[in-house]
Amino acid sequence: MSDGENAWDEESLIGGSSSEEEYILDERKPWPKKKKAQSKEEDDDDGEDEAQLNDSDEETALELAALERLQKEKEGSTQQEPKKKKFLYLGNVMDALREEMELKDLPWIETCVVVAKPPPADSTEINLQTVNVNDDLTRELAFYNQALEAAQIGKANVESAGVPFSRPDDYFAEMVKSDEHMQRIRKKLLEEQTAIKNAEEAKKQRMLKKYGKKIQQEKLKERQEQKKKMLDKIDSLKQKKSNNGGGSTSIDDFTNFDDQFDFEVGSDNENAGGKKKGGAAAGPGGRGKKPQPNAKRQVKNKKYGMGGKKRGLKRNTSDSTNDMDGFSQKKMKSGSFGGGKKGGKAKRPGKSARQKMRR
Amino acid sequence: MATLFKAKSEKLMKDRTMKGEKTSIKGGADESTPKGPKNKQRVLILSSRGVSFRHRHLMNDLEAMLPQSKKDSKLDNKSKLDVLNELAELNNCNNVLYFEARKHEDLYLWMSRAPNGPSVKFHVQNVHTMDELKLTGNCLKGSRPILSFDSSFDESSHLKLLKEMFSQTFGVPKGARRSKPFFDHVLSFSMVDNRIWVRNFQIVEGEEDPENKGKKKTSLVEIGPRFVLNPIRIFEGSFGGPTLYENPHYISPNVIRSAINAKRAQRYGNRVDEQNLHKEKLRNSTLPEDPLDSVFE
Repeated sequence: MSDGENAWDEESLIGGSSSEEEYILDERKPWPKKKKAQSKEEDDDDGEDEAQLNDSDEETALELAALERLQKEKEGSTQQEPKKKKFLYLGNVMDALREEMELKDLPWIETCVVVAKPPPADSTEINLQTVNVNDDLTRELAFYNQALEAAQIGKANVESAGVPFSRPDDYFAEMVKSDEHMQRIRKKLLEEQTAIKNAEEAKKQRMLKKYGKKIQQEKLKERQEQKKKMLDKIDSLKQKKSNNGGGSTSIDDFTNFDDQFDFEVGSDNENAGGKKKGGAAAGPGGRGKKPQPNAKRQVKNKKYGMGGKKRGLKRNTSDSTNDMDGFSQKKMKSGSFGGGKKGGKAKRPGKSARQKMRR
Repeated sequence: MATLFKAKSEKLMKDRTMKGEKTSIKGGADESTPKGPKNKQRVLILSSRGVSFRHRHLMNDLEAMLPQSKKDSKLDNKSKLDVLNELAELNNCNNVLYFEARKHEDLYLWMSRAPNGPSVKFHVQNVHTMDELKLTGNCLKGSRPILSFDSSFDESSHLKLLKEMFSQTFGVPKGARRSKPFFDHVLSFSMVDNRIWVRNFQIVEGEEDPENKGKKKTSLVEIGPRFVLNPIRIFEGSFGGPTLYENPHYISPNVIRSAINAKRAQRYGNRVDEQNLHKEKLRNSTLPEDPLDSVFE
């Protein structure tokens, strides 16, 4: 193979003859300065292409773009008659060559070739003639179907030839992929599965949380309603009582309420009454209770203030002066402070004394 | 024991002589043997210098799939490919798969029948090797594949020729050395988008169908490698000779790259044009004099 022949795939597609080559080069020079419309159109096309790009389609998209460009270049040059590139196709020679090299009169088992039948013209199933190349999933499915059909036909053929098809379970031999590699594949599969499972669980958990919140809200609402009902009841009872006039007859009935909610039975304005008495005596859930800030606020108040005036807290009072709690006589006498050495620590004996002790 | 060994060795000798008879120049059929015609193929696999790791892995995968293959060291010479014919002869191979890398990124595959042709040159695209963890299948090393061809391989002359070449190169002959006597994968060739898509599937036989007894449910798992072959030309000779077929749909990757570059260059040109146009516009468009401008002067 000569150098010239090696180079054909670069050049010959643009134009076979050298004259055509030149013309294309000439055309290329002014090309960037061509009209806007054309370039804009190309840009638009590009946008579409880029949207479609995925790993395997990138090249086809680029090829399309390149084809378009080549066509446009050819269309743009009507002043010189456009030469159509002729592509060689020597069918009869190829047929003859095939005839020559074909393996004739061989039983099927020697070659194991299965050629799919052409799909019926009106079939709606996925087939290779109609499949969209850029749709990865359907394309691969078409390949899969083709291979599966071949596998089934092949299996039948193999078995009819009297040759074992699948290996027995106790037949161990070297595989194409090593055990280590298969381990890696298995690990990855497992990881994927656990990831999916985890995602699903998290989703469920999220749903539950959402649902739980709703339940809680409903419960709170219910409680509020109950409380309201209760209060209404009390109100209505009070109304009844005040309508009765003196109320001496029904006082006995309400004593319980009085104990619980602490309002003055006799007064018409029960709100005012409740307030007057203050929170100190207010029962649980009573209306007369002084409104308390929420728990968090309370803690913060306790910590940072809002507990009354701080002025003079550290001053002595008569109580604090009379308090002798922390006083201890012993302490006062011991130590270096004023007191004698009576209660002090035992002193270390002198050196000679210690040595005498040792002996 | 001794008699057993004798019997065995006799049988071996007999086999050997039979094989010797079978060997023919064409590697094809020979009716003289009592066992009938036999398919004999040997494939030489090698690459040029400058292949990338992915290309090399693809080549190794193919070698693992073809027990009748012989791998040779990288070929240095890119211009004189007829050396390959001699190499094939040295290795007793009648098929050659030659991976030619260009610019460390483009991979071309030559599939040739040595020494007399024909040969095909493909552009190899979308290579996925067996190493990928997505391809989960596995099969015996050296088991025979069932070759599956798409229906369009029976339609035109060049595809028929390609089918014949594929089936002789990629099919493992019966009883080939190092081959295993079972079938556990399918090698499929499909013509889509004017390219040949190659897939390799493992045949998985599941539990028996409850509906029709005795029949197992067959399913497939992809083993890999997967790649796409874009035929460029078919030559009459092996690695050369007159062209029999040219693919009108083929665009060289160089053209694609240059188109991309041109487009990139065009972006700057467009911008300059735009700026010039804008300047021109500004120059040409002067506001008409407003009669109210001089009212208070």
